[in-house]
Amino acid sequence: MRVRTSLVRVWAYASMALVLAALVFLFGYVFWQGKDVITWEFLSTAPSGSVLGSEGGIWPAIVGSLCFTLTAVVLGAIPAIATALYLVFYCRSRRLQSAIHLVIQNIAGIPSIVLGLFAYSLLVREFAWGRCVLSAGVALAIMVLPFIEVRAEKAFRELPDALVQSACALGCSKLYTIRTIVLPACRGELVSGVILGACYAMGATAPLMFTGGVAYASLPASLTKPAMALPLHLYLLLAQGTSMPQAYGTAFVLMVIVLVSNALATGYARRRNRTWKQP
Amino acid sequence: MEAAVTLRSVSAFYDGKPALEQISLSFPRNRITAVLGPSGCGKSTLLRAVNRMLEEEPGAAVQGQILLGGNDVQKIPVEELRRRVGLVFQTPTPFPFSIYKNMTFALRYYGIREKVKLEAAVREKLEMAGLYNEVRQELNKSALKLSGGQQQRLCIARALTVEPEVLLLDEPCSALDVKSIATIEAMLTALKKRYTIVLVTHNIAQARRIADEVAFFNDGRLVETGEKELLFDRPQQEETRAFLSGVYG
Repeated sequence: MRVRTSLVRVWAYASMALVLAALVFLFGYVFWQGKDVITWEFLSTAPSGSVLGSEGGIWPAIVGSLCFTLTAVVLGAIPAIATALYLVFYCRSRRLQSAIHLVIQNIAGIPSIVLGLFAYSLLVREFAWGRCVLSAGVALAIMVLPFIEVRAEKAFRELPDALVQSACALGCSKLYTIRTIVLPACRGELVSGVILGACYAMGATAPLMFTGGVAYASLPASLTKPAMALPLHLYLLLAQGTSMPQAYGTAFVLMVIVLVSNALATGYARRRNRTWKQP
Repeated sequence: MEAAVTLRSVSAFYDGKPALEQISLSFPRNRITAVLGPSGCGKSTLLRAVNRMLEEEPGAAVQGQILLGGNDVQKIPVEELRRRVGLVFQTPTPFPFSIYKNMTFALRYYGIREKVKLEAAVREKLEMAGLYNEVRQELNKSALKLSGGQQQRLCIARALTVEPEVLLLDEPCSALDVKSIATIEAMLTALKKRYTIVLVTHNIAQARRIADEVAFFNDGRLVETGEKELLFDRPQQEETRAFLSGVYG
């Protein structure tokens, strides 16, 4: 029995070490390959060179990525959190709950390139919005909606029933209870869910390839203008064989932004939890 | 004796399965009625049916008529009903705010903003709950830092801030120590002068100590009801006798 316990422990430690090593190796490798191009200039200038992108930086792509992500998060998080609130606090029919869950699971299962195609044919062509931040933002918003909804719903369901019921038992409306008890209590999880959704959107290439991301553009001036994005820039650098070090540099910057955002999200959620659940 | 709440043939169901069957019962005004019975006999369901919390649970349904002061609760707007019928839960549920903010939570909802009025209400209700002297210096302290007994008294005081007519208490002492239980029982006895109290409990001794009326439930049925002395000293039903003598429960 003791041997078995030790074996399980060794297996667990080894697995953990393997996962950690994979992450460190991935970061290390990408950084090593791109280290020569990662400079302040790389971060703060536009692409240049005889073949555009072979020299210069990725500033427009960083700003573009942030614009796409912000649009997606604003358009996706609001309906996602509202859906979660409805499911947990208003919907009494189990059948309707199951139907909504089925829809959300199905949206989560749609391949992102299909979302790109949908947004392209409906928004870019049919509605004639053209390739712009908004068209791509909508495609990305549909992609992150289930991601945020699932996390928000989980946070709401984990709140003690009695806490919410106590407020309702005082004769306060559900809306007041949600505003004053539910949302502040779940703020940590909600913010972290939204940031993680943003990371997910930031790494996606397929939904914005035909809808808003273009090969080389200046900084986006409005929602109706196209923009560059880090993953698309990376894809083009690779696909056209423009510059491998530039591609690795871009990949490293993208990974750092996502990792830092993830860490911030986790840290924030933990801190909020501490203040709300302190004995 | 005038009834504050009257139940006429009330049945409750979870997913079609009966949890309460044809309950007809009344809670007399300014008295403590103990709803007694073993765990799972439908006591809490009964309370939630009265303030219409039960209807909000998926799959739950209520039949029959419940009257509050002669008016059908279905015809009273649900928020008004819940303001008039307070409910305190088994485990203390302080909101994760300060003591003061807990006490003014509902008052602010009802639009009371003047500091003088808020402070007077906080003081009066905390005094009623016998908590004011213990917390008067630290009203801005987090309510989560109070002891279990203090938290429960805060929850009762909070329920009183909206001036309910009836106070429903769902096993309010089951998670507390002996000293806190004694304090809460003394408080409830004092509160009945102003409020009608319905106390759900499976604790026979507690019902014996503070109740005026007792309703004994088993398996979702009202087995027997009457004044405390009568029910405890001369129970009419075999089930009640068995429960009181500790055969089950």
